[in-house]
Amino acid sequence: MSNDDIFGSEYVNNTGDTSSAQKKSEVKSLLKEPVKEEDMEKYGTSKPRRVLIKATITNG
Amino acid sequence: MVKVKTTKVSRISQGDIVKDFEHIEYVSEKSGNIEVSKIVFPLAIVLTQDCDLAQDYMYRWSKTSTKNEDKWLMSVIMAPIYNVEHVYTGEHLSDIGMSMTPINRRRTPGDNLRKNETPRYHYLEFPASTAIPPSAIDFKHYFSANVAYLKKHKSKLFACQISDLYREDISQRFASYLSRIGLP
Repeated sequence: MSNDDIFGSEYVNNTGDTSSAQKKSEVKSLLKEPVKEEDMEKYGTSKPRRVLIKATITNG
Repeated sequence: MVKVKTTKVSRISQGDIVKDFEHIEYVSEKSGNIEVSKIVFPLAIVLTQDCDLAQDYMYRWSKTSTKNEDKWLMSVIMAPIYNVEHVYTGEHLSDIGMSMTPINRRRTPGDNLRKNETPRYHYLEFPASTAIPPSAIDFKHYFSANVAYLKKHKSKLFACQISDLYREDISQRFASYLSRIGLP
């Protein structure tokens, strides 16, 4: 029987790690570098909003 | 929890999450009076297939000349990402005058949403470093964005990118939701 790996290694090696971060390490890194308050407010509390722009052409 | 990339690249990719994205509802002009209505989504995700985006980028922006514009896209498919706490209460669109059906977080509907067993929504938990709270993509609210506009503003708007596998999971569920058949 051949010892050759039937799976090409090129794709596997190029893929990189796909596992998500562990919660424990996430907490550690967060304690070292807390999220800025402005970022928490921006992403955590905002909702979609409608903006209406009205203009008049004066030199049309 | 999903895995994300925070490295900015100029190309638009599937799974890119952008912040404060402006979706034009309509533009009208009458007797010299112009009205533009837009919805600003705090977060939105790119759902267009990544191979299409890659080809569009290569044909549209690369310096090497191409025979034609065959691979150019007309638009990019996007979907809003809502704070799941707002989705539970049904108030995530209250600022634009829309009331949504609440989802009881402590009962089966809430469990199903978090387990991604509700076809309409895709639940996401982000790493703490990305500063995005647990959220839900609403596939029903998908919209399109101009490719050149998104490319031009991506560096300013970029929040993070959902990594491979996780984004493909989202893409699969979106395609499945879009192609659903309502049986009598």
